[in-house]
Formats: sequence, structure tokens, C-alpha cells
Amino acid sequence: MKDDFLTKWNSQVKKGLLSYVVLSIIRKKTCYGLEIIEAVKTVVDIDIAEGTLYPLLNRLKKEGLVEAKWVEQGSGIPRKYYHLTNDGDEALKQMRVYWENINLSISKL
Amino acid sequence: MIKIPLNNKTSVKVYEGYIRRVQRMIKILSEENQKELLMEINSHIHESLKKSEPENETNELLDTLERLGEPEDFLIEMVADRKMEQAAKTGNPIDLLQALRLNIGRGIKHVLLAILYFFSFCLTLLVPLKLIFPNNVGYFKQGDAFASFGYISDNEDLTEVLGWWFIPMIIGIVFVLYYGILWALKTQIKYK
Repeated sequence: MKDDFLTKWNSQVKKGLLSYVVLSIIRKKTCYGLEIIEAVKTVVDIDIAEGTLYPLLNRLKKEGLVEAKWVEQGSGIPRKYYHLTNDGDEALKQMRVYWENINLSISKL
Repeated sequence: MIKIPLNNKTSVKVYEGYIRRVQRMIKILSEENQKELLMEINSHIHESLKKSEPENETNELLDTLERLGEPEDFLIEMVADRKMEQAAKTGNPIDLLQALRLNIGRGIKHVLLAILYFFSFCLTLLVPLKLIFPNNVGYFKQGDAFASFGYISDNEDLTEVLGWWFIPMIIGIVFVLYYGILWALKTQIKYK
């Protein structure tokens, strides 16, 4: 029962932080879909279908936080590279401040 | 979309089967959106397979597709969002109907918009009915009091007060309702 609760709680926290993690990854360098997914898996050991990260990227794009560009490859199959916009950079800074504040408050409990 | 070159017959069958499922899921979208989504999924599969050994191609492909997930599950949100954008952009009644159907489970606002859409559709039907049954369709009064609006089979003791003005009035109401729905969708897309 306790393990079940903790597993669910872990998964909820990780899913809640996904946007923050994805934006932080893209901030470091422009990445294509699979690269982002692999980096996310390294940072948060999360068990979700890889396909579910594409709707998240789509939402971030709609919000104007990231932009995407197709880049041709030698194989003929292009990659879609994502990069952070100025709004995305600003949003990430605010998310970081919020995250640090909440962390600090919780650590005092 | 350029197909991924695969060596093994089983891999080709598995890959093409998956792509067909993706195509079925996104066929409701515009050509441009279909191409974009298909290219992104194809690119994901291609990049995943690039790291695999040719002799493990089928297993690697099956693993990749399993990790990617069922197209019917992970594409539904993107399809619903893009259909909504398409409907708001084109104003096409069929696009709008499909967008509302796809988004109906995503909040009370969409349920209300779907009800308004259905109401507009029912009002539109009154126009041909008025042409066919001019005495049974309209705005009816009994004396000075409102009695009925729309179609009635028995109009004895009732007076239809709008006459042929009923048609432009219905067209006006439908126009306002329809553009109201489109405006609500555009606002939602803009401020979401």
C-alpha cells in the first residue's frame, strides 16, 4: 500500500516537472525529439511512452516557449530541432525561481 | 515522407503497419499537419534504429515502437489541438464539428460549444422546412401570448407573426451563433 502510494507520488512529481526539465534541456542546446527524450530519461528516471513527450513539445511550441525547425540529413530523413525562444528563456527563469522557493519552503518543514 | 530503408521483411511489415495506424489517426487533419506529424514520428523511429545492429533490426524496431507507444493514445491530444486550430482558421462547419467531437471530453466549455453547434444546426433546418410548410413553421402567438417557435403540426388557433421574415431572422441567429463558436475557439487558442 505504502509502496504503491510512493510510486504514484513519484510519477506525479516527475510528470509535473516534465515541462521544466524539457525547457532546461533545450536551453543548453537545440535538440531533436529523440535527443530530448533520451536527455529527459537521464535526468528523471520516468517510465512513460516516448510518444507522450511529443504532445508536450507541441504545447510548448503553441505557448511560444520553443520553436522548431526541420534540418535535412544525409539519410534524406530530416530531424526536427527544437530551440528555446526569448519567452521560453524568460519562462524558464521564472520556473527556476519558483522551484527554488518551493524547495526552500518545503525544506523548512 | 521518405520511408525508412529496412532490410528485413518482418521489419518492413511491422513498420508499415505502425505508419498506417498513424495515418489513420491523423487523416482528419489538413495535408500540412498530416505531413508534419508523420515526418516527426518517422524521424523518431529512424533515429532510434540508427543505433541498432542490422541483425537485430526487427527486435530494435519492435522495442522502438513499444517505447513510442500506441499512436491511438499519444496522438489524440495533438490531433484534437491541431483540428481545433484548423477549424478556427478555416471556419469550415465540418472541421468545426470534427474539432468539437475530438475535444468534447476536454472540459465543460467544449460541451457547451457542441450544444450550441447542434442548436445552430437544428435552427438551420427550419429554413427549408419553412419553404416546404410555410404555415407550420415560424413564431406563433395565441392572442397576445407567445405560443411556439419552430415547427408545429397543429396550428389551429395560432397566428404566425413573422411570415417570410422568419428565414432572414433564423439565418441571422445562426450566423451570430456560428461566429460566436468560432470566436470562442480562437480566443481559447490564443490564450491557452
